[in-house]
Amino acid sequence: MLGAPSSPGAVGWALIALGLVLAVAALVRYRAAVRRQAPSAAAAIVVLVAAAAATPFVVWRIVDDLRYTTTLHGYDRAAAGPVQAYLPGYLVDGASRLIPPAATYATVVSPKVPWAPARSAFGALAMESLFPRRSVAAPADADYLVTWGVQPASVAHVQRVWTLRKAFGQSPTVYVARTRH
Amino acid sequence: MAAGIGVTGAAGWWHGGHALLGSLGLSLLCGVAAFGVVAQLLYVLGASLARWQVLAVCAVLACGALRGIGPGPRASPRPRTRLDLLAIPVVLVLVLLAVDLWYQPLWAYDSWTFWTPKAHALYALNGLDPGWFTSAALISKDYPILLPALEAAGFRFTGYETGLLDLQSWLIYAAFLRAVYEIGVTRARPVVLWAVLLMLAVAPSALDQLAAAEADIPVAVFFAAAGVCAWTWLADRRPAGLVLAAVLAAGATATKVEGLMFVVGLFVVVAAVAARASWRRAAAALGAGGAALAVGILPWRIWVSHHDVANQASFGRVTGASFLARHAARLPVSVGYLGAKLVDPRAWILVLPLAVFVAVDAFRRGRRRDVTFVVGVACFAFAGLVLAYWSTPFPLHYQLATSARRVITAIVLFAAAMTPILSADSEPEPG
Repeated sequence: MLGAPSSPGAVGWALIALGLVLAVAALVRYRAAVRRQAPSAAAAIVVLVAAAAATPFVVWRIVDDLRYTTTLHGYDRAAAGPVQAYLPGYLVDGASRLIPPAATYATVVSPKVPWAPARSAFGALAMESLFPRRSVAAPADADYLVTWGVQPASVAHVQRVWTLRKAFGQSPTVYVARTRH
Repeated sequence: MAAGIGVTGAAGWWHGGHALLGSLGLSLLCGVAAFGVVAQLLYVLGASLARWQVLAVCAVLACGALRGIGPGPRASPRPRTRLDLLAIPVVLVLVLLAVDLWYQPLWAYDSWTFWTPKAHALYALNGLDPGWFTSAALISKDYPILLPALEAAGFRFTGYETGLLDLQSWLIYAAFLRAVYEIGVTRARPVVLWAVLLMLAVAPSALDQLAAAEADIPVAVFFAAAGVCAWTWLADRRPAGLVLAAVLAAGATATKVEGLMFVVGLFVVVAAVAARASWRRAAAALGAGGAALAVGILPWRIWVSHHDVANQASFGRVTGASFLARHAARLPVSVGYLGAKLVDPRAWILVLPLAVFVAVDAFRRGRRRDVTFVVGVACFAFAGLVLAYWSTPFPLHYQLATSARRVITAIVLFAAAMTPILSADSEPEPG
């Protein structure tokens, strides 16, 4: 879950500990009754108690997640996926005004972009922003290029280059270029 | 649901209103699987799956319910126990989860990079547009499209609304829990049944995966439900069991690449177990498995091949002896990593340990056929996953770290679904 904490934290650990204590107490209190059961039933009772003990922590986790996700609106909600991949959701915004709907494009990402998930996901972000345009693998085969941290002229013959997004922080410049065949 | 009631009715799974009410969970799963497989086939054939076509497919599938109409045998009701009160926390947790999923944005990598974009493209481009679906930037182009087809069908009624996708997976999972209850309620020890249901309702891994809107829960559910239906055919000699196993298995193969190896393993084991009684039954099992593959994955593979899309799960990949030999060190790493994920209590609480304990106890009590079936299917599935990681062209540790916790879900859910059944005192006598 997006807003669930990656580690239990103080409240989580307290709930886990409380659940464990109650579970052990219940099993000790009713151990004679458990021993009288068939083996599968006895094992199931132990497991049932363990699951019941875990339930408060799981419920707390869901509630904690809700506290976060109910505050997400607009850009935060729409760009949650790219942001998880260290990609600003607006990085390729505006490219659709420069690339005609029937044109093909290729994406090129510099290996110097510091985040591996972002490098992998840049093409998907471009695909979403430029839908329904078709992407091709080779820059030389594309009508347009969308590059991140790479000068378009270094990967294909280009007619014209636009700066789509200037460099900010560790994110290099995003260019759009029309190629020349 | 209507489509599913038609599928289970046509298969002869239920007869009469009472039996229908006792099959709603399984019916929903079969309806989703059947619709998804048909939708994938229609897309491959060039259909747009417009709103009227979605309704038409469901209506045609629903016609199978005619077979089940009429008075049916009224089973004597199972005595209620205090354990049935555990339905309250199970339902409450599921309801709370549904509320949470309503507010969940589309954040998981696989969801926003290819699963949902494919669904959007099927919807916005009115079908399987070869130009877009073979785009260089599209990840996992060779993955089958049952899940995107389901999502696109939903978009026909809601518009492009990604907020409902998690709830779609939730519905499939809730239906699975209901199906486990339906099949186990007359056979299983109540305490075992409710222990499994509560664990499945609160398992952190299940909750996290449902929030991700990926395909791992659907493929796991289809596979597990197919396994349970196949068991009913082995144990009760219900022909409907084999038919529904094939429908659900087709759904599994049409959902994710690993669905194929899960299904192959399932029907190989079913046939092997059936062969002990009759070669004809073994042949029927293999035939059902073959039909599931032919309908569930073959059309999609033909489309992929025709459009020169590279196939990640090619037969050559898993039979490249020199590659496997050079990477032999991956074998123990994969086995250990996957095994640890299977028994991690932070993910699945104690689902697998309980399943193992109950299976051992069942074997001691003489339920050799059933335990052999469960262990065989689970081992085949596990071996398939190990082979997949052994043969992956990508860095192993990255692959394991990003996917292992999800792909083992199929084995966990199958074991969970079979655990209540194994807890019964004796094997059902073949009818």
